[in-house]
Order: sequence, then structure tokens, then C-alpha cells
Amino acid sequence: MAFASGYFKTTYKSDLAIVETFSLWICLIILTLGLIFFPFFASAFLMDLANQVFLALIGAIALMLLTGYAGQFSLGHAGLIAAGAFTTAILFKELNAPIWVTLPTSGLTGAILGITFGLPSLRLKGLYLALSTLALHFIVIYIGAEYETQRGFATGVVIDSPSIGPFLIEDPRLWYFSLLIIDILVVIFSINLVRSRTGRAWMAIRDRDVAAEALGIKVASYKLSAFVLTSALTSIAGCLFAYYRGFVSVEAFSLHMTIEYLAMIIIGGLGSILGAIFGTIFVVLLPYIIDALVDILHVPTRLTTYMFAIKYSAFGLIMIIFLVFEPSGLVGIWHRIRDYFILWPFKHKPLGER
Amino acid sequence: MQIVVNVIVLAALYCLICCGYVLIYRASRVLNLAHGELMTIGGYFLFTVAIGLGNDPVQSFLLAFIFSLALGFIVYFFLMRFMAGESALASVLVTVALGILLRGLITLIWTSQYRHPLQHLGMENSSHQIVEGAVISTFGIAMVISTVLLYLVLFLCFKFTRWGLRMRAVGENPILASQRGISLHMYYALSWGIAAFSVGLAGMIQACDSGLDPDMFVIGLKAFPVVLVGGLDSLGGVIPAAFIVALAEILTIHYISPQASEVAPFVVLISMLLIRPWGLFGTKEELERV
Amino acid sequence: MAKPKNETLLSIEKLEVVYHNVSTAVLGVSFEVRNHQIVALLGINGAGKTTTLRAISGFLGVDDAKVTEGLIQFRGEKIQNKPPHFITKKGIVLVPERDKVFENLTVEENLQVSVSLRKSRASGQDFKDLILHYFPVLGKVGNHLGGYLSGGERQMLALSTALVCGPRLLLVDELSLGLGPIIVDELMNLIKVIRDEQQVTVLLVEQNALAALEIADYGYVIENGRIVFAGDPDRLRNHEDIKEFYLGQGERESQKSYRDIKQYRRTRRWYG
Repeated sequence: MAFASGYFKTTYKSDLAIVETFSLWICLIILTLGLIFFPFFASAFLMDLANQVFLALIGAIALMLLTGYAGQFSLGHAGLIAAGAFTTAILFKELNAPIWVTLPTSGLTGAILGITFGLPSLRLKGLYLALSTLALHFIVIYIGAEYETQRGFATGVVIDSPSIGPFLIEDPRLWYFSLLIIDILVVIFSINLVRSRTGRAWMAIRDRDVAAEALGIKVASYKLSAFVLTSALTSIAGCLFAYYRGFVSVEAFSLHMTIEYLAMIIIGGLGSILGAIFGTIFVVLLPYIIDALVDILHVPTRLTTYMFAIKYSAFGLIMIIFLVFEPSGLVGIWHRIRDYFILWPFKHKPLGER
Repeated sequence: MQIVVNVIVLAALYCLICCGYVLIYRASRVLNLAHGELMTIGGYFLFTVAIGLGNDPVQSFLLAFIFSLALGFIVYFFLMRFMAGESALASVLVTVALGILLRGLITLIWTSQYRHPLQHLGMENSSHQIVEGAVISTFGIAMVISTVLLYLVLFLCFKFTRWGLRMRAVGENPILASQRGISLHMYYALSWGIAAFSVGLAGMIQACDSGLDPDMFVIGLKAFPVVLVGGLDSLGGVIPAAFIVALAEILTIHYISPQASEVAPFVVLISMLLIRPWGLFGTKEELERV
Repeated sequence: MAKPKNETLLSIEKLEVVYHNVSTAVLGVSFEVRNHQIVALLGINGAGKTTTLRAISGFLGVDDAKVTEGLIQFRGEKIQNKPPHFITKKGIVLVPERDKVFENLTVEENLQVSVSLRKSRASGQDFKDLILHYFPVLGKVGNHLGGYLSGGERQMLALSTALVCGPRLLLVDELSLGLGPIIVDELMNLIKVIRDEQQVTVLLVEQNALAALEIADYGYVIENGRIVFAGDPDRLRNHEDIKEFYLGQGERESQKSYRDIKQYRRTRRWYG
């Protein structure tokens, strides 16, 4: 089996290891090889899907850090992505800036927005905080829309493909590998982050902020750091989004996008990076799965005009089902299946283990 | 003068919408993010009933009222009831998901075409000149009158009737309320019912005034700042807050741009959160509870 | 009341309560309450007293607790896992330990909130007069908010809101909690008076064993989720271990050490 069935750590080194067992190494290597060779077999459509998943994953992991680990609820995620995308668009249109300028600047914009909108979190919690971040969303979208109308890009801003040195990243395969590398970096970074002091402080704040403060955790600065990091990461995702689409327009960043990201981390399972990955794959692929189902079931063409509404309703329905029946998300299901096989013939994990 | 009239009508609309937010929040500590969708559905109920009955405004409105009320009960009994004991966050997310589901269903059933229930009701939305230089539409007047009526009834009920008292008790301490013989489900369902009814009413009048399409739910979102400015748990706070937000919005339309008016409520919200996070009339402890 | 005095009102058999589907708080508690008695349920912190009471008065989804095994019978009817408001209407009313009044309602509103009978079952008096008769203090603070009452007034208000529901069986959780000895004595005597005049039966859960045994007709000692001792107050009062560990009258008080307590912990299982 690929996973340790109990707590077998006997040295500090093994406690610090990210990959715990030899067989897990093998699984990871196979996965990596699969990911590397995937583009050579996949069709253009599958490549686009994979790239979409990779793009969404950055934002989803960022939101997972903020909501799943630090416990701060945000409804401004689409606004942050928009902020990154518009920073890129404005820099590109006004200064013709290359990607190595726009990418860090987007991150910086995000960080500044993160500080501004993290500040209310020092006084507000839960729903109140969520609604103040909702304000962030509307304000960013308003600024973007103002820019579009003032400069005469009524329908949106067109952005050329980025180039790094001599490479022009235009081919889906090049995109695939660039995004893959970025994603792997983001995943490793966030896994390590949540294992570190910062991550533990976040989780303490999430579980009970008063107790965390009593234990000497600087609640204010850790809350702000969560906001800053998440916003910066999300804005970088927004920048990449802008380049990948080659087109930026306010219509793309509706509140629905925020809800999709929330759905990713909820369906995936709050408080788990693996959950963010599962959730992103599920939510991004869901509309295409429904399409495929429609194809298989030979739904009368009369109904296909309603496809958008059907997908929409299905999305809501699935979210409800997960929230009501499986609050621990896909990752919870995965753990249950895994534990079943690892622990067989026993039924339960030792008390207190996750 | 026209500005004053516009502010009053808009504030009335916000009052109608927000009373539902406050009622549900006070009873069950859940913020209903599907409120805008309930409003839209209210409008569509009226539209459908109007087509079915044809030129009979009184009956159409009554039937649509009943549908809206029933919708609130259905939402509670088939969905929110299962969220008892879950965290506030999970419950709120369920309402978000419900909103998506309802929006999908609205487009499925009624398509995203622009509808005018008024023409099926056989009524006209004429303009009235009340004072020099100020015009108000028939349904603008209806909006103001129904808001005043609804709030009067609600205030009297909360103050003087036993169920109003029990509703407050349920919101404060559900376990004790239940131990004192109060059926929680009944009062939660009641709060959902009244909320769906009042917001549905807002949707119906709005639909008569300016037509109907699935994007109407955005008004529900714009009404959020009103509840927070007034205080999430204060019904009385909604009225001044609605005026503040409506004033900000109308002034922005006049002096800056219609586009900026979309943000105006949220700017008011942020300044409020910075000064007095629990709102004008909310209780401070509420901040800790959510 | 014409009913025979010794009829069983409430009987509990092998009750087991599980929280969050994992932790068991009560393991097979059995006891019974006879009509018109005052029964005391004694025990230290975490013994399972409150859980037992909550199991009788009903859990809500919020509590995430469930009676998984056993039987709770009230006047011959099974009432386990029923919602609290249903049980209240059956005539079992709880005075909880904490959060016992609505803090943002006035005293008068607190009294009106209860789903109540108009008149007393036993004496046919109007409840309003009855409350003022038993708790004259409440008449003076009628307009105050529940949250601003003193501990004693709060307990009185909680008792009266429970009385208004017209209980046949009154469950009182920690009557003495946070109250001075004088007021505790006063309230205990009042409970006895109410029992006599209103024909209610009382199940009293207490840490303050001395005060509870003063008025009780029968007593149970619960420990670690099990009943370990039962008897009438005299028997309980004269038992060596109970004397030492619940009443604080042990003879070896001066040299009591941790070893002795452990010794007691070992011996107590013989009573189960």
C-alpha cells in the first residue's frame, strides 16, 4: 500500500519528510511521468482543459490557505483575480510591459489590496468579513469597468501572448509545461507553509482566535499575512489568466467566479491542499462532464438550448449535496476509502489521528 | 425634488428586501444569500399567475403572495432544516448554492427573456406628479405603501403578540426556547416564509415597475450593505440604513455616473464597518457570534 | 390529587447517550422517580448528571447528541429522542444550569414566552398570581431585562418560567450554582413548598449534596456515567464514603491524601 497505516515516525528526519513512504514516492513519480507525457497524447481540447485546471488551481490553493487554514471567509476572490488581470492589461496597454514586469506587479497589487481588505478582518469575523470582501469585489470590478470605458476598450482589452527570453508562450503545450511548473511550486510551497509556524498559527486562529492570542500568537499580523499571501497569489493567477485568455473584460469576473472558487475548496474539503486539488479538478471539469453525459444519453436537441441553465442548476445542486451530506468533501471520501483498505480488517483509525 | 422621491422609492425597495434578511438572521443566525433569487422568483410567480388568470390583478397578486410564502416554507423544510447544528458558514454556503440552483431553474423555466407581467395583469404604470418637478410611478407608490404597511404589521407583532415575542426568544436562545415548549421548526419556517413573502412582494412590484429578467437577483446583493449598515439583528435599523444607502446611490447617479452607483452601497458599507462594525442599531455582541 | 402516592412517574432504564457519534457521556444509567417525590441526583463534575437531564428533556440537532440505548418512560410513554418542545408539552420541564433566562427580554416577557397553561393544574389559580405569591421579588423587577438580574433573581425567574409551563415533573439542574447559602436554603424550601402545593414531582440534580439531601425523599449518586449508590437521604447521609467525598464530613479529613481518593475510586465500582 502506498500509505503509512499508522504513526511510524521514529526519527526527526522522517517526521520532517513531505513524502512519508517509499511506495508514496513511486506513486508520485508515476503521477509526474504521467503529467509530463500527457501533452504528447492529448488532443487540443484536453490540453485546454488541463490548462484551465492548472490556472484555477493557483487561485483555489490561495483561497484554501485563507479560508481552509486561516479561517477567514472571503467573497472577494473574483475581484482579486480581476485585479491581477487588469494590472496586467493596463501595464501591457499603457507601457507595453513584458511578463516579467506584469507578473510581479500583479502580485504587488494583490498584496496591497490584501492589506487594505485584511484590515477589516482585525475587527470583523465571519459573515461581516465576508461582506466587506464582497465590497472589494464590486470596487475592483468598478475600477476595471471605468478603465475599459475611459480608454475606449468597450468590449475588453486584448493582450498578446507573453514571451520569456526567446520563447513565445503561445502553444498550448508550452503553456501546459509553464503552468505545471508554477503549480508544482505553488503546491510544494503551500504544503510546506501549512506545516510551518505560520501554518500552525493560522490553524490556531481558525479554531479559536481568542485562545490563539492567549497562547502568544500575534493574531493581527498572522491574519494580515494570510490575506496578503492569498491576495498576491490570486492576483498572480489573475495575471496568468489574462495572458492565457489573451483577453480581459469585466464580464469574466462575475460573482459566480467567486462562488466557483468557494465550491472548489468546499467540494474538495476545507483544510486540505489535496482537497483544493481534487475540488479544482471536479469543478472545472463538471460542465464538460455534463456535456459528455448529454452526448451519451442522446438528449433531444430541443433541450440543448437549455444546457447553460442545466449546468448552472447542477452546479448548485451538487454544492448543496456536498454541504449537507459530505461536509468533509472529496478529500473526506478519499480518506475513508484509503483508510478502509489500509486498515482492513480493522474499522477505525487509532483515536486522535487524522 | 425628483431626487427625494427617487430616494424614498429606492429606500422602500431596500426596506422590503432587507426585512427578510433580518428576520431569518434573527431567528436562525443564517444570512440568506439566496434572497435575490427568492425576489426574482416572486416576480415570475406573478408573471405566470397573471398569464393564467388574465386581467385579474387582485387574484393574481394574492395567489402570487401565497406561492411566495409557500416557497419560503419549502426552502426551510426541504433544505435549511438539515443544516441545524452545522456551522454558520456552512449554512450560508448552502444558501449560496441554493441561489445558484434557483437561478438555474429560473432560466430553465422562464428563459432569460425580458418579461413584463404588467401587460398580462391589465394594469398600467402611469406617472403621477405629486409636487412641482417630482414624478412617481403607480408602482413606486405601491412600493412605499406596502413597505409602510409591512413594517407596521411586523413591529406591532414583535411588540404585542405572543408569536412575535417567541420569535425573538427563539433567536436569542433556541435551546431554552425549545425547552419552554416552543416548536423551533415552526418559528424558523415562519421566518423563512415571511422573508420569502416580503422579498417576493418586492420582486413583484419591481417587476411591474420595470420588467423582469433573471438578473434581478443583483438587487438582492446590493441590498446587503443596507442590512449591515443598519445592524444584522435590528429590524428598526433597516429603515434609516435604507435611506442612507439609497441617498448615496441616487446622489452618485446624479453627480458621478450610473456605473459608479453600483459601488456606492458598498462604499457606504466599508465606511460603516470601519467606524461601527456592528451597524447603526445592531448589538455589539453579534460580532462575536458569527 | 387522587393518585396513589407511589406510582412511578418517570423511569429510566439502561440509558446511554452518545455525543457527536463518538463519545459516550452516560453508560447505562437506570433510576426512577415516583409521583410527588423530590429525588436528588448527586455527583461530581462530569459524572453525567446534566447529560442525563438533557436526555430526559430532549436534545436538539444543535447538541449533536443522541440516546443510543435504553428507555425513558414518562407515565408509561416512551419519550427518548423526542424534541424538547414535545416533552415540555407532555409535562416535563427543565430549569437549565446555564442560560436559563432570555437575557434580552424583560422579566414579564420571559414569563409570557413559555408555551403555558393559563391556570395551575393543582390549585386552579392564575399563574401570574401564583408566581407573585411564590416569588414576590419578581413583581418588583418586572420591567428589567433578564440579563440584568442578579443570580438569585435569575434562578427564581427560571423556576417561574418553568412553572408557567405547567409541569408534572420539574427537572432542576444545579439550583445552588453560584448562589449564596442563604438563598440556596430559601430556594430549596420553596421547591418543597411548591411540590406540596402544586402537586409537582421534582428531580433535583446537585453538586451541593448537603442542601439537596435536606429536602429530598430519595437520592441517587452518579459517577462516571453510572449510578453507584441509591437510597433515602438518611441512608446516604450516614454512608461513610458519601460522608467523606460528598458531604465533606470524613473522620480522616486531616490526613486525607490522594491515595485514599484512589482507594475510593477503586471501591466504588462495587456499588454499580
